[in-house]
Amino acid sequence: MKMMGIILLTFIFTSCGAPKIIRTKDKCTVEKHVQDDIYQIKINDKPVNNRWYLEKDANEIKLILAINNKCMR
Amino acid sequence: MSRKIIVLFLFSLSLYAQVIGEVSLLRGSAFLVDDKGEQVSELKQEDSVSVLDTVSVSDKSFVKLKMKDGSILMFPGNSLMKLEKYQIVDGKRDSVVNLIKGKIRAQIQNFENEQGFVVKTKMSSIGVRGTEFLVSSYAVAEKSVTDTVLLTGKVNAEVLGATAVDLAPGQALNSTEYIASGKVRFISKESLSKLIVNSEAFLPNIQLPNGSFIDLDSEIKNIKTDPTKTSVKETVKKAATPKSTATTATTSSTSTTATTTASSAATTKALAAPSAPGGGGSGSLISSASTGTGGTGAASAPMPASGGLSVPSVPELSKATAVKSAVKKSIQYITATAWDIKDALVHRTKRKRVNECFYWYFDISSDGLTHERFREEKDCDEFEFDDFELK
Repeated sequence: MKMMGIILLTFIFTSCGAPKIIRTKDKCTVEKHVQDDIYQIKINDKPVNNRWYLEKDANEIKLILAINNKCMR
Repeated sequence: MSRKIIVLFLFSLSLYAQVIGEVSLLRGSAFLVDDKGEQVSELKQEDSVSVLDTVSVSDKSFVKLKMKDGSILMFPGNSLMKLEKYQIVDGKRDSVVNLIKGKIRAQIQNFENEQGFVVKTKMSSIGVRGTEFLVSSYAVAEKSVTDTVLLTGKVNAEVLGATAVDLAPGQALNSTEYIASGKVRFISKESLSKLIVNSEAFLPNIQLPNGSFIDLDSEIKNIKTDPTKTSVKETVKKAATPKSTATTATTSSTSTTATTTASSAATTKALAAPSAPGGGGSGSLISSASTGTGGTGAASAPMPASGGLSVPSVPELSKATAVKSAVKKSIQYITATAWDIKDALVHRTKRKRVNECFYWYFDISSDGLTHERFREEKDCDEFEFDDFELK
């Protein structure tokens, strides 16, 4: 019981600590559709979803992804 | 007793097959068809048409129907329409023409009730008020599309999935474009005159099979002028003679339309001559000059209430900026591949202000062979909620 209490307290204290943010090295790209004037966002050449956007919108999303550390700026 | 039964039978038969007009001109061939589209009988000139008749016009043919109320309906080849209703009771008309496919050019006699004549298509319903107009019904990527252009008078177009809009002479509406952007086009003064003068001309399809939009004015320019009719110049001259009542309408309309295109301003000038109200006949000065049906007085052709138009107000720009912006827009229009992308590109800034953005996805079409593109609307600030899951 005592042991359990110590483990619980240790867990509570350690969970409060914020880990160091490691900057991602993943690469974000915006690629044009072969036929249409719409663009897809890729991280490390893999599409993030099946959606296509206008070029400006795609670049905005790319920026948001970078801000959220999903890829390099 | 038996005589009474026969009379009653004949009377009921006459009610069923109520003659509502006749074929006043026929070039090529046209048929009456049943509900399954199978030919019932071939139509000939001066044949009568009745309520519930479905008329199919063969390729490269032309049919002109003169209705009992004096209205004229014209159909080019590959048109199919059903005369669903055509009643005139106590001077009030209640008529519905269902344009299943193809085109119609209608010169409608004015009646007491404003919208007693309706042209129905899969995508829209056009209520008519003593006027002349053109409608096309066709399909783009298996989706129904309806184009309407008003030559004279006034029509109220109800498009499925959008708010109804009153059209003014010279305004052209494509149902797809209207649903997507609320945009109503203007044709130029010359195009309007040409369509009026060529009394057997029809409206070219505004949208191509690949979904892109044509330059309507250039297409209309290619329509051959009928030399037997009034010259374009003459018509324009007549159209430009303002009546006292028309001037006010024109002035108010100028402020509404000036923000759209350069051609709209020119069109507004051409519209300056809706004839003065009177008589109860039909057609404006323009139509009476061109169609030869005038002289019976005319219904005025007032401009629509500004509320009916979906023309956004844009702040005044300097000449150079305006030209630069127009060129940029044109390039975007040309380089984009399809109407839905063009529309999103051109109206991006405006839509972004109200947090409206689009995305596209591809799905296998109903035939299971090709990928079809679909457009979806989303909030612009919704990016973080997209499914950003690495696959």
